[in-house]
Amino acid sequence: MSSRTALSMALALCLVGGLLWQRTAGFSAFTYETWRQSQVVRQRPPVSDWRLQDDQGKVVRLSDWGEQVLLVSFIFTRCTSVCGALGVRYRQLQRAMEATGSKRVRLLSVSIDPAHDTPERLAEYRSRFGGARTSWTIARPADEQTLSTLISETGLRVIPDRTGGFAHSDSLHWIRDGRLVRISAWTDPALEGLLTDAG
Amino acid sequence: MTASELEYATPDTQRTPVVKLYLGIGLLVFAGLMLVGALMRAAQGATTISIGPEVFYQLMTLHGAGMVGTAGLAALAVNWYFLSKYVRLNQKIFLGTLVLSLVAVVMIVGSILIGKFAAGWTFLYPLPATSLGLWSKGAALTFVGGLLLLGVAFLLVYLDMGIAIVRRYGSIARALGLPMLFGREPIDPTHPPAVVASAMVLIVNVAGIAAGAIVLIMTILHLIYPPLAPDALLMKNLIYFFGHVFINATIYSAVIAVYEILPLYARRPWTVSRPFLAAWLAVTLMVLAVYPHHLLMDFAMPSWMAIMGQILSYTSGIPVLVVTAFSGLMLVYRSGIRWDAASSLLVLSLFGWAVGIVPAVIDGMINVNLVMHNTLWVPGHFHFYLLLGLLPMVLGFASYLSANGQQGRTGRVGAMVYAVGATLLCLSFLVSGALSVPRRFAVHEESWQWLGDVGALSGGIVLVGTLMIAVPILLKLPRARLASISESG
Amino acid sequence: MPAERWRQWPLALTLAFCVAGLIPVTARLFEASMQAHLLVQMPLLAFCGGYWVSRSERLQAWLERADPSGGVALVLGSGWLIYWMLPLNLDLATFDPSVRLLKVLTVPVLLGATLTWSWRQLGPVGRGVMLMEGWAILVRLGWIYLISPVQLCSNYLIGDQQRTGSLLLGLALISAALAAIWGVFGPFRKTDRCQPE
Ligand code: HEM
Ligand SMILES: [Cu+2]
Repeated sequence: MSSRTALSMALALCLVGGLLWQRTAGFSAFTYETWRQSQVVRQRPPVSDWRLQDDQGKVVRLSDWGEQVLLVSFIFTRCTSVCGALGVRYRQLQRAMEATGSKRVRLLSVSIDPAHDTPERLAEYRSRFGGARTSWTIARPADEQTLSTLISETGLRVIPDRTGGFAHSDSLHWIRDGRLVRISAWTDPALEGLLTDAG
Repeated sequence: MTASELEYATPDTQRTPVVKLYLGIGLLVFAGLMLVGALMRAAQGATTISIGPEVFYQLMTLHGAGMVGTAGLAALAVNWYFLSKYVRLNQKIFLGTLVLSLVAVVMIVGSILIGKFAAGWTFLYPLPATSLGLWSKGAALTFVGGLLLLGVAFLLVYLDMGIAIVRRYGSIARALGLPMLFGREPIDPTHPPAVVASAMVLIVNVAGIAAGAIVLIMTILHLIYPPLAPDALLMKNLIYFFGHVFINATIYSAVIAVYEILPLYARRPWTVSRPFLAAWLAVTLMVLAVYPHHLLMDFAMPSWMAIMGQILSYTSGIPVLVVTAFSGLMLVYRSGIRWDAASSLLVLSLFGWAVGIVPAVIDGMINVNLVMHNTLWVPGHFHFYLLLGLLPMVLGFASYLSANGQQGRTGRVGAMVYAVGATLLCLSFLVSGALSVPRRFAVHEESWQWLGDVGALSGGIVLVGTLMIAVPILLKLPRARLASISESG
Repeated sequence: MPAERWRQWPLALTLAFCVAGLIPVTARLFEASMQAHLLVQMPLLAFCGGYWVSRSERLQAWLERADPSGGVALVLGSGWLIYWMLPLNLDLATFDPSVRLLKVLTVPVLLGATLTWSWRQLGPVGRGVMLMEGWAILVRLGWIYLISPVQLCSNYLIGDQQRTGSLLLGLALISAALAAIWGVFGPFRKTDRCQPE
């Protein structure tokens, strides 16, 4: 093998290696979901002031939460899989918040199926887990526009499954001061720390 | 040799240099790892030394992976050397295999000695990923990566051998003698046994490497991303297919030394016959299908596989062994053979291989296996094969290559010492097994310990015998020029 | 090589390329399911590049100067193969227009053409390694898709993913059987010396 060949092969290796490195955020993100997480940490993209309607029919906006860290999950009430687990997890976090009296964090479940998930159905979803309204809001996008905005702003992927429901991300989206600052798994133990952290 | 045959052969000047490298490195590593083996046995004996269990399992991994890898390389050297007589092989690829293997060895040894990897050479999934803090993920990755590199290295040389065989003989099937066996072509008495054996080794080892390429990468992926958890039983099947085929094939490569060298002593040719070809075809298929005997204790395995494993274990070694031992004896019988280091070692290897079958067959019975498989009976059986079958073939070949077999008194005495030590060592394993002493135990109960000491002692004797044969070879090897057939008588 | 080459090949190639990647209707159709995306569209795109290399003498002459050993092409091609095997890229290609464009433009060249060129330039041993590795990729990928506990592509349902896995494993099984037969009894043509029967 001539040294020219060896050199060009090494260069080619660096090239594809570099492209792979760049796309996978340093060989850490191999799926879209993990990639989205790494992108958000880096870019902290702004989100607009979503207009939502909660399970009592009241309109709420993102800006209502002000300085608080908002943990947003996306659900639909007909879901038979992970949305149930998400509800249980939120109730668990809520109990921890009540125990410490911390007001730093608020929980928000947003329906991705607003046509079906009326405020009544959202209230029924809440009743399955029994959480108080004070720290956990369950809402649907107030209009079609908001739904597509929040999907594009979070990079969420929602695809219909074969049973009339949706396959969707189960991650928790951390929103603070109008920015998406982090996306984490709903099982992430760091969430407990977030509740009690003073800073 | 006719002119057209010479045209196919590898040029003489290219046949020996790399083979010598293989043998030199191989003999040194064998000796070193024998010391490790004796250390382990001594630790089990507990009267002379004591090492912690963590170190024991590192040594066991080192000994297992090292011995299997080195056995593979040494057997390959035998195979390559004699095959190159008949077909044109590429010396550079052969060297490349050695270089890649050495890199792999560095990775494996590093992962064990520096990274403290100790999951055994079988890296049985999911053990590498559940180290309980004994070794890091990086160490496990390095070990598995080393095995992967070893697989690639062997694949290269096997492909080269396969292509060269096809070029001369038309196809692997023809090299294996299938058309002759099934009467499509007349028996060609000049068809070399070495080529038949090479064809068999190629078939099984390429299949084994294919399984390895999958199971090793799946292990790596599981290490990187634990939730991706392949079925453990399927992984075990693949691992044993890969590992069993690889270590099994070493003896079928190394036996070529017997086919090629003994006739020189006996001054009678070793010709292929229909039973010979039938035996090699049978063993090709059996070696591919026999590995489930490692899994007889896995009750979730389909029982037909266990039964197949049992039946094939009875029979798998036998065909080639019988034709080889029988023809070997016929060859030697009343031939006025000269007994020197090489010829004694080669005949010893036939004996060791033949007797080694007995414990293997016993262990292959499902009922016995359920009791015995995790006892030292198993190391007893495979050390028999390897120490008394494979290694004498390799040593005999090395002796023949470097000293034309003539190593004087030291050589003959060395072979004796070696034979006695190896037999004792294997007995120490087998007796332990019969007494239900478990294998892979770092610490042995007091009542078992004397066997460990006997093992350590006999391991020492084996090492002495090996060195008596190997040291003169190593000293001569760099300058050795091989005598051709006519000169050797 | 046939003496008379099919003259219309550039047209056919362009057509195949357009169908595979450029015409939105057909491209979307391919991308609608994971099986079709991975097992039909991607191979078709790669094939376009490979076919181009094997047909165009101008391109061959250029490659002969640029990469006579085929080594550079092999590195680029395998790297790009890995790149597009990442679920992330498969996903992005279905909804991010820039990534889709990247796929349509680079897969033929950086994957199909490169691997074809290196295949042409490699000796039999290199080809053997390529074949073995390609086969192993089928098995590994199929196995991963079949058992992955998570939905790897957020755009394809997990059932779709498992079906793709089974298909890959089926392909691997068939090709293993064929390769075994060919390897043992092949190559089914006269080599240098075959004794007359
Ligand atoms: C002086 C010669 C040797 C001695 C003293 C020796 C000793 C040992 C000992 C004590 C063990 C562990 C047994 C246990 O408790 O499970 C062992 C395992 C093993 N040995 Fe040897 N050995 C020798 C030569 C060889 C040779 C020549 C080979 C192969 C060519 C070999 C291959 C192996 C293998 C594959 C294992 C299995 C390791 C495992 O269980 O993971 N040994 N040996
Ligand atoms: Cu859901």
